[in-house]
Amino acid sequence: MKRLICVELHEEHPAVSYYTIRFSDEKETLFDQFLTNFSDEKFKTDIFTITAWLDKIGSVGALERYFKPEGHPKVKAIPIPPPSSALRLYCFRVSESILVLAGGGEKKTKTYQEDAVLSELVRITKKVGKKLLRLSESGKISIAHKGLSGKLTFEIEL
Amino acid sequence: MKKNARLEEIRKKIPQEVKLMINHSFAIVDRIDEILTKKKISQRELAQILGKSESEISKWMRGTHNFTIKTISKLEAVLGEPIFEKATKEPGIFVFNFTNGSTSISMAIRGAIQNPGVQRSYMIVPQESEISTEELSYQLN
Repeated sequence: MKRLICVELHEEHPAVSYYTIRFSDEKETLFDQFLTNFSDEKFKTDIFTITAWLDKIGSVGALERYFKPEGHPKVKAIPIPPPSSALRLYCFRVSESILVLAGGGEKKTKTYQEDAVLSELVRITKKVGKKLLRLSESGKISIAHKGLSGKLTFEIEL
Repeated sequence: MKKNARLEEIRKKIPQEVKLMINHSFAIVDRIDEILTKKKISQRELAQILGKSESEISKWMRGTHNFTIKTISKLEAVLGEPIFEKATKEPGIFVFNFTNGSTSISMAIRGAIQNPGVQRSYMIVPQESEISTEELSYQLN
């Protein structure tokens, strides 16, 4: 099934621009859905930690070593330190200064592949990221130092 | 610079301890990375030296690992370089306490210093003065 997605600028920081993914027929981005789904008290510290982590990365740059690879060299999980629940937030690291935040969920299985929701999120992140790079190679998207421009609405096969 | 309203609301509520934890964690792993780069030691080699897996070392270097003092000490021992000294190099407020008999003076210095200790020769104080650097406290901005 083909779905139309939009890659939108979410936030700009001194060293990193954060983009998000939104299905064109949905109001919230995947990252907003993640924040909505995990707004309970139980996940409060994790959400605080993720936000502080995004701020820190935003000030120093999205260095490769700060991320956990998930199924593709550029698909990353944002690490959350213990003690924490098992929240996972996925993103696509375009470069040291461009990060596309996808969605996330609670990891209840040993690997993300065993969890239908998480593996689907990783799959979407991978598809969107790979399409972005393909569109960049064909000149339809421009990846500048800290910004994406061009055809940021495109179809992906899911 | 564009900011997201929802994240801005979350930011207002982040406890200082969470921000400090992230800052300290990144300071530690950035310092370890600096030493590894300087000594031309790869993460794989460090893993071999410590008898750990390479994936364990990668996990440490992500900036959110909860290092124990034991691990930091082991790293300092095998790398032959201090980690904490550099980790506290960020600008902050340092408080020094001086005691001369019954007179005690506290001095707060704002800035970044390599080693939060004070050499007596840098101070103009009477010979009998005591400088209790062990009472030094450190606070991040």
